[in-house]
Amino acid sequence: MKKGLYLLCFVFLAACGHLPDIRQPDLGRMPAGCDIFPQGRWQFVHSIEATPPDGSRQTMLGVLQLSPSDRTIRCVMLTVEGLVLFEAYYDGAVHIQRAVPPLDRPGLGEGLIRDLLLIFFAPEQPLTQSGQLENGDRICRFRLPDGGTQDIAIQPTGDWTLRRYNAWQRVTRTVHGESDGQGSSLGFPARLVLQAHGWLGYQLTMSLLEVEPLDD
Amino acid sequence: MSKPIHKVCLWALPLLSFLCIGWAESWEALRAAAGEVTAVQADFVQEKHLPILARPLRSEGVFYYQSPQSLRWEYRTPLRSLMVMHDGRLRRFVSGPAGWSEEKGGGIDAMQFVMQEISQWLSGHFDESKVFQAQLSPDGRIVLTPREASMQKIIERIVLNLAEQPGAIESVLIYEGKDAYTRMTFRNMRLNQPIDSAVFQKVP
Repeated sequence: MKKGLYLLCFVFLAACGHLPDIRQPDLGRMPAGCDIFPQGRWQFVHSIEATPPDGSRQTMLGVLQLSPSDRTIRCVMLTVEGLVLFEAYYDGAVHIQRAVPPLDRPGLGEGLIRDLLLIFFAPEQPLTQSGQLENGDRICRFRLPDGGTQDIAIQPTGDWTLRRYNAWQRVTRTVHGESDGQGSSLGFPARLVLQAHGWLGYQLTMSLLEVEPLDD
Repeated sequence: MSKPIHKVCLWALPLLSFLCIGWAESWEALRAAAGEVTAVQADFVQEKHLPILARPLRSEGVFYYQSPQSLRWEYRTPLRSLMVMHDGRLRRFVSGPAGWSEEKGGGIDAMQFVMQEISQWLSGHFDESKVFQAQLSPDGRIVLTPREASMQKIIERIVLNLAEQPGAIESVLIYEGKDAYTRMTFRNMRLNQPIDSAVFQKVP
């Protein structure tokens, strides 16, 4: 009985985390650089290196069309040789138009769209807190309707880290946005690295190949 | 005075068609022409057409084949990747942020099958495929249709446009659905020129 109680406490503690402290909080203004998300309609082509939980690695091409104003996404994933593995759009709901192995597993498409929403769209909630982290990075914090939190930390170089926490303040997703230092990507990150944490954690490394604005 | 180039081309068209039809008039003629081909090297341009794309995705690379079953299929832009098949073994490499790395598992088994299918095409044995039903049209095109419904969900049909040069393929069109297709066009094709065996073994 006692052992069970200890185990329960351990599991509970392990499930909890904590948010980094914000030093020198700003009052009611968005710190410069926290607006990392694309404005207007864009098409991106990335090479996407996916590392699933089994450690195997697959590289694909991803075509993504974004419209932040109405929060819609169109997404196509292809093999390097050009075969379409996955095609879907999001307009408030996920619509999968094509999914072939290995991207046809139940829930995978919805998860992929959720990750894209996290990477490319600003939270719909207003900024709750902003300021500076202990290491000097600027930070913006958003409270989410599910009780979770989203932090965006901006480094002095302009590179950024986005962290999504669950209601127990445990980090569930980390995204790093890095420039190539050559200004060749119209101000968008040349590389995005998403890490999904947890038992079935995976990593997506997206390297920007092409970007172009879309007509309204 | 030299003739305008388009007039020369117009004049030459029937001859070119004749040449094409000459080696592509039957499966036997195709096999005979392909049987003469033991090595192929070419540059290629690949265009991916999708309804959502304002302009197609363009890739370029090089292609080497040596009978009976050695292949090197290398993309150089926009993403560097390489597939080599030699002695029945397929290996695939992709260049990423950390340099070249070998990819294993996942679709590699499927690619092994695709590469073997390509080897079969290059040796002229189109009509012996267990996966595709082949149809030879009089204009020098071969249309391959998947035999199984499960495969039809992925590939609707493949059209091979034969070159006027006996034994050579000019372009390949892979249709995945309405308005979604890949066009691969071969350029600078060299037939039966010696290829160093290291080409099929050298990997990053």
